[in-house]
Amino acid sequence: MMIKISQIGLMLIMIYLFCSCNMSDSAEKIFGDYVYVTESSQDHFIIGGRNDIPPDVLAYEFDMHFLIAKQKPDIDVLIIKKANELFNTYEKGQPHQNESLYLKFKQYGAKDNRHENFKIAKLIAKEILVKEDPMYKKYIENPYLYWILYRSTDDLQGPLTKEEYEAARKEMKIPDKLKLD
Amino acid sequence: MSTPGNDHFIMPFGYMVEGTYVYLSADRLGTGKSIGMKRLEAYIYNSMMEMAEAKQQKVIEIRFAAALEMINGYNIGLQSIVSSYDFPGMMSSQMKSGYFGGNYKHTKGEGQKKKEYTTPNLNGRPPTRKEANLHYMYGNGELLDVDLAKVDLLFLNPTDFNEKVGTRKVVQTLWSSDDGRVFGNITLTYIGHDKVIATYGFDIYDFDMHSWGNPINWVRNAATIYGDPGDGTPFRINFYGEGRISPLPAWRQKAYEIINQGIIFFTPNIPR
Repeated sequence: MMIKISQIGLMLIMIYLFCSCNMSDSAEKIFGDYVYVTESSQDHFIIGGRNDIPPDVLAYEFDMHFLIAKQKPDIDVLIIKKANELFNTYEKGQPHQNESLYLKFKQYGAKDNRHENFKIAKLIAKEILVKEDPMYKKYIENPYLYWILYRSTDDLQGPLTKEEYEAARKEMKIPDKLKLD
Repeated sequence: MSTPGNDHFIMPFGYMVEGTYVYLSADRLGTGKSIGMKRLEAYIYNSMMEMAEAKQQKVIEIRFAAALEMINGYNIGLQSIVSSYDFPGMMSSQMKSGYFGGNYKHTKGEGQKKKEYTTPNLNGRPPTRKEANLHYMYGNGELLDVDLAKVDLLFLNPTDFNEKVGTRKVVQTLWSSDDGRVFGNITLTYIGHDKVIATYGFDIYDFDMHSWGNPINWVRNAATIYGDPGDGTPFRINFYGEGRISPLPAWRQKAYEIINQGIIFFTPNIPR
């Protein structure tokens, strides 16, 4: 009886201590360093070593040689990632190191306020991605994108369109039994 | 007081249901029994629920907080609850039409709180759990930007990333960081010089449940339910900038210094 009470007590203490929104986050090991991370019901991604397959990874399969994944592109993630790159470059750099970026920030009213400057970085990121980035076009034009990891060399290919993915499968001789859906 | 037909009304000193006026006071109900404030709150809450069920309407916005507000309203005079739920809405329209002679004052219901809520200007500071919960409840999913430099990541050091620049890692901050109860897992990339960036630059503040079919999720789900502040909208937290982690442990730094100085160690060949 005492044991049961102490067990229940321990569980209640654990629940109290764990009580947090982000108990809903989880990470599931795939192999080696690779994990499938659930950030929310719409945000799943894979990370491992120096590679990552960005959200939202809907499905993945793997064998001894390959990992394949299907992604529903999330444009917001792409923008935030780009904004971070620009923000860090701007905050660290001297004007002469990246003059065009420095001028762009100034044009948007950048001042000595990191928080406001990040908001500017998001605007510039979107502008740059829309104009220049081929990845952005892929994200916009394809409902799903695909990724292939060659395990022995840790070489990650992606994002691939459906056609590119099918061609890469043939080229890399990925067995038919390894498939998504 | 005239009978308002079959509608349901909550009034400053009681409520009307199906044409019957139920009188409430702080220490007495219509039964004549004395009750404490807590029981009165519970009584009002239950009554409201019964009324909602009688009308076969979905109970969405009524909360215990609303009952509390009614009590507070009672204590200071002619006040009552107005939330976005239907029958308090009816009450509101009756008030506006002068049914109570205009002698009333609105207190804030959930709907009003939502309308009046403005996203706090944290200036990059991580939100406290209370701030995050309020934003979840009333923020309509509006994102928050957080400066990674202001997030407590000092529980990490480069060995957590195998000391390799570019290494990504999911970090559970719940136990180790002052901000852990807000962020939970964060995915970070090591960029060298004791600094990290958020790999995808975001975190989601939500209360998603996992499958109850897996016992591993039982405590997790129980904690999620326990931590859930109520109805709300998940929101994205964008991380910007670089986070600082602790430097390498002293012994490891010393080892690198020795290696960098080119000192070669010989292992003595000890005869067996």
